[in-house]
Amino acid sequence: MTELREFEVFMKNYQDMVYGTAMRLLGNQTDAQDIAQTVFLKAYEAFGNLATSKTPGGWLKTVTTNLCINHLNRYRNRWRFFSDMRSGDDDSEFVDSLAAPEQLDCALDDEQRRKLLHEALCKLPDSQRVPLVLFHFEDMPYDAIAEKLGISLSKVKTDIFRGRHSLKRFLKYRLDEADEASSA
Amino acid sequence: MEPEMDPKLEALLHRELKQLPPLKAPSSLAPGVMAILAARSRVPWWQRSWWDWPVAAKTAFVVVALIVAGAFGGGSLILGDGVSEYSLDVAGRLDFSESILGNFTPLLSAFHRLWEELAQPFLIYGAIAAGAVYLMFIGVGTACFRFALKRI
Repeated sequence: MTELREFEVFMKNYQDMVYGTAMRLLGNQTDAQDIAQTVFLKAYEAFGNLATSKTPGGWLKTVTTNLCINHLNRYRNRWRFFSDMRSGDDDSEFVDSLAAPEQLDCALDDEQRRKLLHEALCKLPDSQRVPLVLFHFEDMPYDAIAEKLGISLSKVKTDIFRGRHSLKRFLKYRLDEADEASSA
Repeated sequence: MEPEMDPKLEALLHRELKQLPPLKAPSSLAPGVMAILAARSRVPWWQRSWWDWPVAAKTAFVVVALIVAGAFGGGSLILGDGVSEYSLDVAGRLDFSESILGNFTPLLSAFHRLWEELAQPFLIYGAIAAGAVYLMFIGVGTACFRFALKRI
């Protein structure tokens, strides 16, 4: 089997993981696909080592995360001058874009609720979504997130706190269930 | 001040997020990457970046580069006085070019005078005007962008 063929098999094994990581960090399909493509082009350059590595998934995840953060920083720097950059404190646009409360109250199955939760996660402002994803999906501690994003520990905690509260409405039914179970 | 975390919400959200189904990569991702790699592999090695050259070619390049640099740097030491004589000979043969250039000197000084008297002040004022217009357009553009963003 030629190296290109081997790499194609390798890529097909990891493409969902790489794309999924990028998609959750960026919240945008086009950007996620671009980043995933760049990750695999870098992976091909290092394929000699990756093919024999025991943890190629870890390498791919680290590169994906770093490229996504770089991408967001570049975008932020480019537009900051022109648009005052929508600050993390301004959640009005995000809250407006979420599903209406009556839509959440009606009987939805688990799959539909998860779909809404995923969509809400993608719509979170970058400043909230990225630390939230790093904490809950990548299992990174707060201090490591602060170091990776180059922001203070208290800012990370505040952003995650705000992100969780934005998503809380999607878990209301679960919280109610948990309350009922504990009071019974 | 740091916010007070709600451990119940944190645990529940963690569980719910972990239960989200894995996302599937678009079907165009792998063919796109393979097409780029195939296109790259068709480029001959000497047209790629130096880092992608074969090890033998890279080594040969470094050796040749060192030899050339050494020849330039240490050539005169090895060849001794012969080099000085040869360079004097070459300089003598090129003397005619000096006289040709000498004929252009008045013309060049005339152009220099013209530049100092006429073109230079205009260029300076022109550059200042262009800079002012550029800054004005950035200001107007920023104001329009912010206004449009508020309207959206």
